[in-house]
Amino acid sequence: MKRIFLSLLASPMLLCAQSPAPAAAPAAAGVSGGGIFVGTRGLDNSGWMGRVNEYEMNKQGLRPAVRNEYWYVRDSWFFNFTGENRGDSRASVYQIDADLDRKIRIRSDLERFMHRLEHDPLANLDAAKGNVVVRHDNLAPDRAFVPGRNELRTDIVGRINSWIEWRAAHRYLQIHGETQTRSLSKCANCHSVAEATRINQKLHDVSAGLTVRLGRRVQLLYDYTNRQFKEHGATPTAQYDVAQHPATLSRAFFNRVQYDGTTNGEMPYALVPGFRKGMHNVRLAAELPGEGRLTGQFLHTNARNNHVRTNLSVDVWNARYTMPLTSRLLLKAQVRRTDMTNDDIFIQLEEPANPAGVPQAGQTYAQAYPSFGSVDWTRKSAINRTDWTAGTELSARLARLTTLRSGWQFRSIRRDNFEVERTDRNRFFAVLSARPEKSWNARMRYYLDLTDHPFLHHKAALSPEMQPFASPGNPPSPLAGLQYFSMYAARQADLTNQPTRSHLIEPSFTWTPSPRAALTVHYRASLQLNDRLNFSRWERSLHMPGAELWLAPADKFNFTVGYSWQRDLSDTLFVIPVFDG
Amino acid sequence: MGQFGSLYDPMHWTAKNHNVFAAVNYEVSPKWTLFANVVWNDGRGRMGGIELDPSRVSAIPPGFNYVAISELGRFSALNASRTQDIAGVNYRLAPNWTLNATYYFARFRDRSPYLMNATGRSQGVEAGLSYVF
Repeated sequence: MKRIFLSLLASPMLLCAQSPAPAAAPAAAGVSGGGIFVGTRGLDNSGWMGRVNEYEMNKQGLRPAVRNEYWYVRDSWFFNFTGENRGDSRASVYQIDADLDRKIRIRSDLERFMHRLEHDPLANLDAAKGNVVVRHDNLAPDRAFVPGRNELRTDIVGRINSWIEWRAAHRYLQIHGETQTRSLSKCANCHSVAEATRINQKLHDVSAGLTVRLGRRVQLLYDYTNRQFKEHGATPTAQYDVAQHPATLSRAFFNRVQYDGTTNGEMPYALVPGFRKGMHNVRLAAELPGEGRLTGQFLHTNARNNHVRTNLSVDVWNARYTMPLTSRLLLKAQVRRTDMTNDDIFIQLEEPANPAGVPQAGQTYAQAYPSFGSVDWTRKSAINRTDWTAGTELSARLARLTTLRSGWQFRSIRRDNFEVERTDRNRFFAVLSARPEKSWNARMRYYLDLTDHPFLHHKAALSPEMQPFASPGNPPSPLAGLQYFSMYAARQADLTNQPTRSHLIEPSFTWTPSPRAALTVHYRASLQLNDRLNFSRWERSLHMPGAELWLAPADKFNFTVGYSWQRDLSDTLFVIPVFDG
Repeated sequence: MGQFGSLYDPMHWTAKNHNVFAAVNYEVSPKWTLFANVVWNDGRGRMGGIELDPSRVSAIPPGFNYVAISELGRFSALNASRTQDIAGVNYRLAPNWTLNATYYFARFRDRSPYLMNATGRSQGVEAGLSYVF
């Protein structure tokens, strides 16, 4: 997206400077061309640049600007280079594209840009009630967080003979600089601390693949990609506050503290784990008699978290069949199955006992609150699932340049470790495209989704009134009375942002009264509703009409103008849990 | 009514956006070309419908201030506009040489800043010489 924007930005200046497109028919003798732009750029900035120049260097003052393009064509040989420096080496793009006698094709590009991130002042955390204080320390109050991004990508495709092609690619991505990291202590106070942390994240992708033609009608493709990611910056550490009673400042939480500033010293936080990922992709494409086509694909991915040494594996099976039924009817069918499996993690917590002389002396948390059960548990991943998609589509040519596509798609997600075990969705759709005359064309899309048991957070909010008074003690003791785990377990309301019914309709109409004028009007409406929640309903509607006009009153004068309006409205249940805990 | 002072209410979020763009290219003569394009967006949105009525709560935690959280809606209130404009001229000095000058203007206007003001403006001129070979 950014590249498109930069291209739009740069293109007007090069419009009349650029040579004819280099993709011209090859000449017997070599032909070359290009262009160079050398200039200066002066900028005046005010206010915060994080929105107005989020991805642009755009430094204040005068800076050089250079753009260059060179191309060469001879027979089946081709070379093209483009480069741009927008006044800073951290705002530059370089691209090479070369075709070596139709035997090897090389594309490589290097792109560097900055990303201005927000600096959270933490000032919204100022609140106090007696000794209970929410406070913050921003250790880098004047720092701008503008990490740089460098990406080098190279793709090479080669042809060995008429039935074997190979390809290889490398991608290197580096994100370096400073970001804001935050740690939070609680119990005595809610104490948030923010600081500047140096990052240096590097990602490498290496891939290779082969295409083999097995006869005239069958083609087999295989690709392998290996990805490695590592954070080379040091993990920040924080000295958490001492866990103590907010009012009495006595250490009352012994048997429920996993770590605090007294016993553990500096603790790591905001850790970015490294990972490696391997992807195998096998595809088979076969042309069938009667202009039918069958494709099959198997994709296997394994991603390993190098920090906690867990694996996530994904297997995808996909098959698609296309068959003309008559000269006006085309049938498509597709089935796809995805299996995702993530390793379990056993969580084993410290179980300290309260010392003598304090309430719950000699007892661990589990002993003091037997209804809580064991504090150790096995984390089963909510990612684990099987995802089926199957569908069919019928395309009918109703008249010349008029087609109707309609179909049905069924999707079923079955989750191993989540309260919503199965979500089924039926989708019905129709797309009409018509161009009965040269002067106008129309298009209409309609989608209807009907979903049983969409994804939701079961018992997400709204605990009943369980203790309408402060806990016993003076000051109230957090050890007595209602405990958080009891209150959370009693929550009643299911919440979601997923619909059970969804409509999408999108008509558009283009009128071209002459080769010098075109008017397009379009409208998009989306209505989503979930009225099967136990305490509320969730609803969202979106309306987006728009129009574009293009006029060229003279050969050397044209203009375009467009307008779109969007209205978005959503309703949901909102719960503000307020209690003295 | 929920546990010890909690409230629940239906909440709604409304947002309205206007987007306008325009572009013009004009070759005044074989030597002069003018171009310009303008993009303007305006977005407004906020939460509503939450009624923080302490009389509906049976037990309010001592010292808790319902008025203080009445600004909850402001936290996600959006009232901002953005414009990005370019206008320029090309002058062909010779068949292979062209002079270019372009004016850039970009502004983000944050009309309801909360915690931080994201308003910013950037404008500048780029001028240079192109050679085509």
